[in-house]
Amino acid sequence: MKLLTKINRSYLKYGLLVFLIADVIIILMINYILKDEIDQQLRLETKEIVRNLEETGNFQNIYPTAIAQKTDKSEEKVYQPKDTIIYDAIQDVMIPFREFSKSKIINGINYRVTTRHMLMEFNDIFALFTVLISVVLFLVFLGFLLFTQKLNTMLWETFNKNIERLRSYSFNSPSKLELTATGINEFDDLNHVLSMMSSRLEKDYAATKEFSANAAHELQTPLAVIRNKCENLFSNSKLDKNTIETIREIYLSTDKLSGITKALLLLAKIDHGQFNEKDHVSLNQIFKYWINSFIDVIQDRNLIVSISATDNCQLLMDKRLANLLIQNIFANSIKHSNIGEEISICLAKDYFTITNSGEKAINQPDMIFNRFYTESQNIGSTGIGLAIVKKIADHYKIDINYSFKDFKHLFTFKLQDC
Amino acid sequence: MKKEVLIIEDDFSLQKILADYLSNCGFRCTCVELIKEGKSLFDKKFFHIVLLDLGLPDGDGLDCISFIKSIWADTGVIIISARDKLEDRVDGLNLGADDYLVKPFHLSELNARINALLRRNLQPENQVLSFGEIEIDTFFNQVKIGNEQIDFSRKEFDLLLYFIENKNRVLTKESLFEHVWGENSVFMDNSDFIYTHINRLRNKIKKSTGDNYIKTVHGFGYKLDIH
Repeated sequence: MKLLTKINRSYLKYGLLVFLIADVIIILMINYILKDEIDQQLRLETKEIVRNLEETGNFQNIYPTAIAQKTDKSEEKVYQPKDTIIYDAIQDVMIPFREFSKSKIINGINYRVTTRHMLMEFNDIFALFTVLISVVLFLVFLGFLLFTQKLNTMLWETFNKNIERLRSYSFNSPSKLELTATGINEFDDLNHVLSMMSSRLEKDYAATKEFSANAAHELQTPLAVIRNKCENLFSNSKLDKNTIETIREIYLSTDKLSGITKALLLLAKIDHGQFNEKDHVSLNQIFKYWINSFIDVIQDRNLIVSISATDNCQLLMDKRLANLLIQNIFANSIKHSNIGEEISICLAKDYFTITNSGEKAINQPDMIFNRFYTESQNIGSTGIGLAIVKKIADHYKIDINYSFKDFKHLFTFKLQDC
Repeated sequence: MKKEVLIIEDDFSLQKILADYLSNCGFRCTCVELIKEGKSLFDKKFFHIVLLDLGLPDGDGLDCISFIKSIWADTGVIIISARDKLEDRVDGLNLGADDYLVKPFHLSELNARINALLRRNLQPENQVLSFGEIEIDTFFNQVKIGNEQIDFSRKEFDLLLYFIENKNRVLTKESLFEHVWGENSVFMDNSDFIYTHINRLRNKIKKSTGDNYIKTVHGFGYKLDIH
């Protein structure tokens, strides 16, 4: 949930609660004060009636608001004011009244003096008051809500802009991360920390990138020297068998070393996102291209390559990486196929598979995509081809599955977004 | 007249290897280690071929290509670099380089590339190479053995040309494989594969000449030799 929404919701929830409580309290207080006022008036009127009775011994009752009745009970008591309802015969309605009674012995006669005040009017006023106060309170609450919302949007605007910038920020873009100052200390502190962090990371990133590139490049020249020196030695005919073997091993290891550093550099480059162009590539076409370029090897080994497509397998990815992926996985199948066997490629809309024959399953299928893992004793096999395949697949969230069934190695590639 | 080759390379060992090898192949070599030194030589002298390393102490070799081409349009520029082809090869060729070799390369391959580049500017009649009874026309892609035209497949032709350009020199299986099958060679186990192709080529020549021109140099590779 967005912070703004959360703040607004909390405001609404607790604000509404506070507003309701305040409303009820105000209404109850007004009720109490107004009733108290009426009660005081009633007491005053009662006092007047009592005084009148004391002086004149007589009082003209006005029903039902001012009554002085003679009673048999000989007591002096003040009753609590109370609400009551009296039937009005003329209008045929029940009318609410506030009533105050008092028993008193005046000049030896027991009286019960009752004064009443019609509440009709009071109720109207009270209702009006309640509505008015509620409306005003509600308006104040609404105004406050809108104001805070506006204020929040304003305060968070630059922050949100900066978030957008951070989101689109990448180590590969040539521009540095620049965050707008918000004028709010907390946000500016955050900006400062982020800017510092990003420049530090940028430096680290550039350093590792440079290191891997340099390491791979600088190694190639000495490797070239070793290799060429070996080639010169080959022309020397006075070598014994052991020396020949040794030179040959040096020569082949140099080749292997050169291949490994190049592959590692390639893996690093994929990691660093240096191949991030987006092309619509058709895997059908790429497969056909590679079948064509490996045709000599295929013919030489009498391999049968069959390609079946139920749909055009299209992907949005870097063309160079797509080529590398297919080249490596296809070369792997050729390499590990026995002479005269079949390699079948099957393409569908959202997956493709490549199958080649084999005598037995891989000993450790979990390791198959690990760098430098190889079960072949062949000196030319570095075990990095499938690591490249895996790296590219991971880069594009392509799911690879390996299985061995009926003397066939099966690689399945599930495409996420075609 | 010997063809002039300028080597711009900052690694002395490699510089020396290249110069020794190319001198043996019949070129006259001049070596420099800085772009600046190379540039100062162009005013005085025409070089048929410039071998240019990219990462040099005083700058990137790429910047130097257009300079060379502006003075001597006919100079062939071959980039020799460790940098990966995926980015730099395109850049280099766009800037006017004629070829690109990724380190570490085979010296025989370098020799073949230099010769191919030199032939590009020659007249068709000058593009015939010969070895013993074999005559190979690189312009029309034809092979004659003892005045009889023999059909060779594209790959066989490439192999034969490579042998003739590097005659009397040992060619390793790896370099043969890399020359003919290019970058795909790194994916393949080559030993048996190259053997069948060499054998086919050897038999074709044997049939016409009655002689085994392609000798096996045990443990190393093959060599084109009459005796």
